[in-house]
Formats: sequence, C-alpha cells, structure tokens
Amino acid sequence: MSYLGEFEQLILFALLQLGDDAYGVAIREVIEERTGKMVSAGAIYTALGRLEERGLVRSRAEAPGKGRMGRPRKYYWLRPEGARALKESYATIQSMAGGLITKLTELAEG
Amino acid sequence: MSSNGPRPPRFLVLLARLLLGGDQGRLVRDDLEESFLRDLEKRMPFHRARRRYALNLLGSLWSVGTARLPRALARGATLDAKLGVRMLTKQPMLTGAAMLALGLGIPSSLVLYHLGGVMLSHLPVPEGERVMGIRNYSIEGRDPVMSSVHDYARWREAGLASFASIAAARSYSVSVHAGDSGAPPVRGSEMSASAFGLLRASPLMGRLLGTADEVRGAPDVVLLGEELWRSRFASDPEIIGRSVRIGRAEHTVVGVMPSSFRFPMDDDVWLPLRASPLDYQEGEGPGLYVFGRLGDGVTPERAALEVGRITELLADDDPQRYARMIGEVVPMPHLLLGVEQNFANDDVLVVQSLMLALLLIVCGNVGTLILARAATRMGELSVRTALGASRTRIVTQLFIEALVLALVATGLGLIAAEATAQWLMHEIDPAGFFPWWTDLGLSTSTVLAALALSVLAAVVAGVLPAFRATSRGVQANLQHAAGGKGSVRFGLGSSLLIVSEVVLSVGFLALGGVMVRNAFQDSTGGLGLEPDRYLRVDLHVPGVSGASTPLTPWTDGALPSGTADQPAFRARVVQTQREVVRRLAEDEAVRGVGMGFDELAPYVPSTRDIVLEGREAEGVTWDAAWTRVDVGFFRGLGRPILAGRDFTSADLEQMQGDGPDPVIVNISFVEQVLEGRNAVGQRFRLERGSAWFEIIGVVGPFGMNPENPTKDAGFYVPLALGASNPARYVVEVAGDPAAFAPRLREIVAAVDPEATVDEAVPLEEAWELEGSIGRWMLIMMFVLAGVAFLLAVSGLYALMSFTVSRRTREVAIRSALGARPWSIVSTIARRAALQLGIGLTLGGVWAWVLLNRLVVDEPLSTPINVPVTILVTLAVTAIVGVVGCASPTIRGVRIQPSEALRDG
Repeated sequence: MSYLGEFEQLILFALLQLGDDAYGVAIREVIEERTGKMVSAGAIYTALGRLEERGLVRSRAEAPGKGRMGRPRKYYWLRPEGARALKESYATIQSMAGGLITKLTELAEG
Repeated sequence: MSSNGPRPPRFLVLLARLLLGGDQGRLVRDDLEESFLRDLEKRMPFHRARRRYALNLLGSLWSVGTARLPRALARGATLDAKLGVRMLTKQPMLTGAAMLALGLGIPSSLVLYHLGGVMLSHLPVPEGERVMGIRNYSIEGRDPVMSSVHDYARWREAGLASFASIAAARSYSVSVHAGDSGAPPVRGSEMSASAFGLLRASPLMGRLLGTADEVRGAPDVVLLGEELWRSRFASDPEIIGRSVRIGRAEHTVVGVMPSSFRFPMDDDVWLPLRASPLDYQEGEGPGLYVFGRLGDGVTPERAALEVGRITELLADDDPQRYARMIGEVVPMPHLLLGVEQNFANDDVLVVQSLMLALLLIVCGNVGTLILARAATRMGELSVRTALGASRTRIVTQLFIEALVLALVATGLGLIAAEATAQWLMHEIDPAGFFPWWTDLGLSTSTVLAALALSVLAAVVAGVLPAFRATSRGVQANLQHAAGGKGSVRFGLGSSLLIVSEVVLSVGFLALGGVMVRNAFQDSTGGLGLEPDRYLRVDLHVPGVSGASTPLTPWTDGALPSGTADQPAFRARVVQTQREVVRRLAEDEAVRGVGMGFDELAPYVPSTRDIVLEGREAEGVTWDAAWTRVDVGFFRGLGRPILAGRDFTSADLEQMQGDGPDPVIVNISFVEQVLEGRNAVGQRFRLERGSAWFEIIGVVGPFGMNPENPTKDAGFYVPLALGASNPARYVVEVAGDPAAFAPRLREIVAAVDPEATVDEAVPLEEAWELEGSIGRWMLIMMFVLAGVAFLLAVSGLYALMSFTVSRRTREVAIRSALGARPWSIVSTIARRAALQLGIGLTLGGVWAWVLLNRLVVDEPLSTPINVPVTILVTLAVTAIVGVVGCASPTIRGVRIQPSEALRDG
C-alpha cells in the first residue's frame, strides 16, 4: 500500500472534486475553503510533483495563450493508482476511528 | 496581469523571480499572482490580499526550498565530494601541507574553548546546573574571596530564600593511617551534612554524614571514597564500624561513597564540618566553599540579587570587611576553581580572538594553495562553464573540495587531540591536577565547533579562491586555457601572505629553537648542587579545627613578615617544623636538611627589581631572585658562608625592629649586582618598596637559577619557624632520595600524626615535572612554527608551480630562441625569490626583536648569541625555501620547446 501523508490526501481529494479543472490555484482554493487552513502554492506544487513521481497523478500543460495572461496552466488528475491509494488511506483512518469518535469528542471537550 | 492594475509588492515579486526558478518555480509564481488577483476579485481589501500574497510566497519558498535543497545537495555534493577526495590524492605535497595546517590549526584554536567547556561545565550530580556557589568578590583585589565560617553563618542566618538549602565544605590533605605508614596523604574534606542531600548523593554502603555528626563532642566519624576503600583497605566488606586513624584521632567509618562522587575537588575522605564562628575571630579560620541548591523556579540571577543585597547589608555593619565586596552566585566549577564569574573576560577573549585570527591566516594560505591548484585546472573549469555549469555550480564544487580537505584534516586533528587529552589525563591526572568532574576528552560541543570551523575554513580557503578563479568570462578563460595559460593570477594578497609566513617562520623558529634548547639542555650545570642527591618535601600542619596559615601573599613594596595566627596553633606548627628538622638531621641516611618557605632549589621563580643604596638617583635596577628560609638553612645543608656570617635567631628579632632587614646574598649577586665589591654591609631595597635590606653574608650558588647561571643573582631572607605553613624542606640523602620518602613520612607521622607530607620527590624529578608541561608547550610552539614554515614553503612551491605552468609557452619560445638556463631560472623564480628575500629580511628583524625582548632579558633563559641564532635560522629557512622551489624550477628549465609549443 502506498503511504499518503495528510496533505497528500487533501490534494488528492481536491483533484477528485475539481475533475478536469484541477490546477494550482483551484486546488489551493478548494483546500482552503474546505479545511479553513491556508496553504502555499509552493507546498501544493511540491506535493503534486512528489505524487506525480510516484505515479499517483498525471499532469498536462495547457498550451500557452489559452490560460491566464498568456501563461500556461498545468492541470492534474488522479490516476487509478492514486485513487486506490487514497481509498486505502481513507479506509485505514476510518477503520482506526470506528467507534471512537464519541470518545474522542468527549476527551477533546474535556 | 495588466501593468496598470493592482500589483503585489514589487520587491516580493522580484524576490519570487530571484528565488523561484525553473518550470516549477514559474508555475508557483504565476499561481501567486493569480491568487492575488482572485482575492481582489472577491472584494478582499487590498492590504489583506497583499498580506496573503506575502504569506503565500514565504510558504512557497519554504516548501520548495526544503524539498529541493537536500536533493540538490545530495546530487551535486556526492559528485563534488568524490572529486574532492580524488584531488586530495592527486597533489600529495599540497594536500599534506594544507591538511597539516588545518589539522593543527582548527583543534589548536579550540583549546581554550574546550578547556572552558569541560572545566566549567556543571557538576555531574542530579540537576547539577541548579547547584550554585555563593561567595564574595573583592573589588579591590579583583578576585573572588574564600568564604569564612562567619560568612557561612551569616548566610545561614539570613535564611537565603532563593536556595532550597545551603552547605559548606573545605578540602585539604589528610593522613589516613591504614596500617601502611609512609603512604602519601589523600585529599579529604570537612563537609556540612546538608551537602550530601543537596548534591543528591547516596553511599555505596553504610550511611552519609548527618547533622548529629556535626555537633562538637559527637563521636569522630568518617566517610571513605570507593577508590580509597579498595586500594588501602582491600575492599574490606566489614569496613563499616571499623576504626581508622585520620591524622591524630581515631574515626569510625560510617559509610563508603561511590567512585562517581569525589566532591568537592577530587576527594577520598569526608569528615563532618565542625568549624564554628565562636572558635575564630572575624576574618580568621579556615576558608570554605559555600554552595546551595536553587529553590524551585528560582533563577541564578534572582539568587545573585539576594546574595548581593545581603552583602550590602553586611557592609553597613562591618564596612571594613564587606564595603569593598560584592556578593555573587556562580556555577560550582567557578567557585571551586576560583574562576571569575565572567570567565570570558578580556584576556580570554583576546587570546581566543588571536587564535582565530591565526586560523584565518592559515586558511588564507590554504586558500592560496587551492587557488594554485585551481589555476592548473582552468581548462577543465572553463569547459564545464561553457557546457552550462553556472558560476555558483563551479564555486560550490571548489567549496566542497575544500570542505572535504578541511573535514578530513579536522577529523585527523580531533583524533590527535583526543589522544593528547587521554595522555594528559593518564599522565597528569593521577597527581590530582584536574578536578573530578573534568574529562578532557572531546565533548560534543567541541566537535561541533570544530566542524563549524571546518566549514568556515572551507569558505575562506575554497569559496574566495573559487570566486577569483571564475571571475573572468567563459570566453576569456577558454582562450587562456587554449593558449596553455590560466587566467588566474597570484595577486598582492597571495604575495603578502607568503611573505608574512616567511616572516612568522623565521621569528618563531628562532624563538622556538632557543626555547627548546633551553628546555632540553642539562640545566643543572650552574646549580651548585647535585639534584639526584636531594629530596624536596612540602610539609603541612592542618589545624585541629581546620585552621591553616597560608603563605602571606606577596605585596610589592615590602617583603612579607609572616602571618599572625592563633598562638596555640602557631606554637604547634613551630614545634612540628623544628622537630622534623631535628629528627631528620639525626637520621643516618640524611646528610643535610634545610627548611624554607617558598620555592627552593632548583627553581626560584620569584624575582624583583632592586635598587642599591646610594645609586637610587641613577635609576639603575637589578633583577634578583629571592626566597625566605629558616635561620638554620645554610648550616643544616652544610653550605659554607663565603663572607660575613650566617643567620642567627637575633636576626629574626632585628626584623621586628625599625632597622634594615638582614639578608644573605649569593656569589652571583656580588658579581653581577655589586660588580665584585665587598658585599657585607651593603644595603639595597626593592624598587617599589621603602624597607632596606642589609647584606650580612655571602653564600655560593645554590639553585637560584639553574637555567641561566649568568642571571642567578639572588638573596635569602630569614623567616621565623611557624610563620608559614606549609614549609618546604630540602633534604640531602646518602642514597636514592626516592627510597627515603617513606622513611621521611614515618618521621613526620611520629612528630605530628596529623601533619601531611604533600610532596616528597627527588629534586631532579620535581624539576622534570615542573618543566615537562612547559616543555610540551614549547614543543607545540615549535611544531606550530614548523607548520607556518611548511606553509610558507608550500606557498612558494605553489607559486613556482603555477608560474611554470602559466609561462610554459613563453619559456618554450625563449628556450627555442636560445635563452640560457640561468635566464629561464630567473624568469621563473624571480617573484618567489623576491618574496623569500623580503620575508627573510623582515623575519630577521622580527626575530631580533623577539629574541631581545623575550629571551635576552629573561632571567630564566640560558645566554644566547642573538646574531648567530638569527643567521642560522635565516640560513635554514633560506635553504628549505630554495629546496621547495627547486622542483618546479627544474621542471621549467627542462621544458622542451617542440613539445610545449605543439601541446599549446
């Protein structure tokens, strides 16, 4: 099983949500909206580069002229391997968390 | 983005462009700008959007940087490190010189830092950093002051709120009688019971000392150290409850402390501290170490404020004692070693800075060598540049090469330093030279500091030359490389470096040579005695209540007259000192015995400037050694009085009066100071004093200055028995002096069981021991001088090699045109010869100054012929310098025009 860090999982979920429109700024906005945490563009591209090296995502550069101010965007999408890794990571967390959420909430609320 | 529209801060955009390069960096930059615009589209206030842009940029720089750096380093550095290792083996002479310089230079520059670190680290007890010393600091004497029993009592009465508890201890030599008379004394201490709890100590067996043991009249008890228990009591399992004689009294052993506990200095025996302020007048009594454990949450600064305030209050009641004192709280090692609170004072900083400056010079020189090496590789570097390697890449490569060199050198240097430390611990520590918490072995912080210095050295020696080597454009470099020349030049800086090293070498070699000769020559020729027949003994009588009479400190202006102390104790000291002399004199093995109170033969280091009566106006002073002796000193040792008379008891009475103090001078004093005139009746005084001395007799040479018989003028001052404790005996023995030491201890024990013989060594050995550390320092200095010299020679070699490779074509053409070999040698060697010449000239002048300042006027130095010494040093330096230049010169002369021009 391919281990995914928390931030990598967030990115893969963002790709899942954005579908064909997943590029840097959009991914960042989705993560910020859903988690309320600010993330940097550099962190996103670094993580995407790592995921791409591991064969979990693919990318294509948009032809110049089409995107913002004439500069190309780079779009990313999930490969089946990435989807499987994300599913397994999420299932692992769910399995670990099963039946513990109430207890966790109680502990957290003191 | 429209150029007229809102923009992120310009400098941030520039920063992003500068630091975020490559495809990924461009994507990130575009994203940053797009996000900024989208924030504005969402009607976010402009300042907030700018702030978000800045945060986004900083986060991106961090993420991209941390992701890229390790990879880049791993990729580039591995290759460069391999290259670096290859370069080490390619030019062994250059590598050897550079490694020797850095390997010695880097660890040497850390000696002070390391010693400060290991000796002043906190004690190895639980939470040792919270155990602090409490003491007063004398503003007048600019020295920490030992605390008295009164000070300790006052601090206890004040109830120091900053400390959970306080305690006191005093450490001294004690005689432990374990049925093996003649054994040397051991270090022991009287310690308050609170100390053990405060230090969180527990016994190996038995119990600790308790407060009940401190009560006067309670049974005498003792705690033994594990090492003593094992060595002197054969690890007796029944030791607890056994009676052992310590000094005069029997003590019951109540416990054994583990070998890890040797508090306060390096102790093996602990007795209860029973000293009370009631026993002493103010300011008298034994000196104590007072210390405490800080209370929970109390900082040392807060504790210092409290102790300082108490001393101020005490000054109101007793201004004479406390007005010029500052109460302070210091780390324990500072207290026990008597080190000032601010150890890193000006002197230490100056020395440390000088050492670092020397290291920088060394690095600069290694840089010259690396520059010379880079010069021979210009072709390779230029081709790499042409193929796309950036200047940063080339500089990084040269830096890593220098780093490999520095790290290997430092590693070897540290291994040598660790070996030296272990040797020192093994050789010197058994004599109790280092306190118990000190481990001279390399500490993590010292190793880290050495590694940091390696990086610094690599920057100075690698990066700076690399910038110079790559300062020209690719085109120029390639052209030069194609023409068989390098574009690198040895500038003025390199020349100055080489010249200054030749100068340093000449000076240090001349000085080092003289000093090493001093240290290793047979120094007893002019001594006037045969040191292998004498035993030197230090005898100390500890007070029952712990009081001792320390030597009165020397004060300029007058000779000390002795110390006033408790009459009863003094009477005992007098009795012991006299009786030991009498019994020794009666012993069959003893041929003579004399007693003195300072350093005696064969080494009297105390010298003072004196002024002769009637010649004060001339402003002429003479340097004379002095020492204080018992009135029976010369009689006891059978030293004849050559003129005048010997000391008598009446002389001691005369010293109490207003007249001049009687002194006996040695024959050198008569010859050197009085120029052969009749000495008896002549008077002199110290340059900075007012009391007169009158010469009553003359004796022959007797070890005033074995190093330099031409500078051994000295005088003897009589001192009453008991005026000083400890006393020093010189015993002439019929056979082997070392074999007599146990017998001597028996005699002393019979006179006063509590008296301790702190030292009983043959004079010859004592001299060796005193000299050995100094000798090693000299050897180190000589080695460093040698390294400076080696660096200078290797610098010259590098310069010559560089010149030959750079001017190969020129030499070839000149050779083809029929130039004579001498003319070619002159072409190649002119600059190196000039540098060597200037260096030798200036070095000669510097050596002249050094020798005249440090050796000629130094009383403890053998006489030397300065011009001959300098000429010999210059000749040796010149010969080695020329030999260093020979190989590249010969290479230059042998250049074959046809080959050189074809290759070019």
